[in-house]
Amino acid sequence: MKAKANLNACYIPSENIVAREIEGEVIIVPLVSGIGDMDDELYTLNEHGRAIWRLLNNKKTLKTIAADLSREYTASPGEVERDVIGFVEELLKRKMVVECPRL
Amino acid sequence: MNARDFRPFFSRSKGITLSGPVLIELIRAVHEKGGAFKFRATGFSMHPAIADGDRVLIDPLGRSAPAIGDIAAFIQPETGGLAIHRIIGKNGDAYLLKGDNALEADGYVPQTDILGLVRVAERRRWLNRFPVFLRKIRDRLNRIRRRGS
Repeated sequence: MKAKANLNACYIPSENIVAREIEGEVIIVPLVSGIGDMDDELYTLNEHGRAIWRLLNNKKTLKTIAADLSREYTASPGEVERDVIGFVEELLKRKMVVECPRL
Repeated sequence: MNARDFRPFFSRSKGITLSGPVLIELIRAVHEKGGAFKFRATGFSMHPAIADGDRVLIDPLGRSAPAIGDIAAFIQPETGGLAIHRIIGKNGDAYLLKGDNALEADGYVPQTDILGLVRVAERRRWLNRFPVFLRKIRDRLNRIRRRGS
């Protein structure tokens, strides 16, 4: 089943990953049963993925993230919203992010 | 820049080769979360305790200090890279490390540069430990067998 991301929700990195920005690259290591295995899949993000990842860490809603990025990249807000949602849904599918707890 | 230029994605890399400093940073990050770090060891300096190609686990240091005889992952003083050798001595908070097959010790390493203790998680399959010339013969026989079938 496809994980659905909500534009008005915020998402934060999951406890089941280790992510580090090293030498300009974001490297994500999934932790399986508490073990980070280099022979398993590691993930790296492209420039736009990194931009979203940094904003996710600031606990912003996807709508705010898309608005920020559409200004930064002078791109249409609607297109950027779709891309941000698509990207976060991929992260959700791999359990790399979770929705922020509601207060 | 038009809208279609914005394309976030991530790529998956299996068995990625990471530089020493990146590997060290990732080990520390995994340990900060209380996890263990698993990767494939290369080299012969710890043979047979750790063979080339064995998959090893680097556990975070617990409350007890590493002891003489333990195998530790540490930042090599000369290269700044990751190394896995045995602790053979201690002087205050510094540890003397040496590969079981190495002629010389690595020198004293401060405890802050000891990344964790190492244990073998999976031995490399014996078939993959064939010497190169035997592997070539095996591969040629396999090719002949495939052609014949």
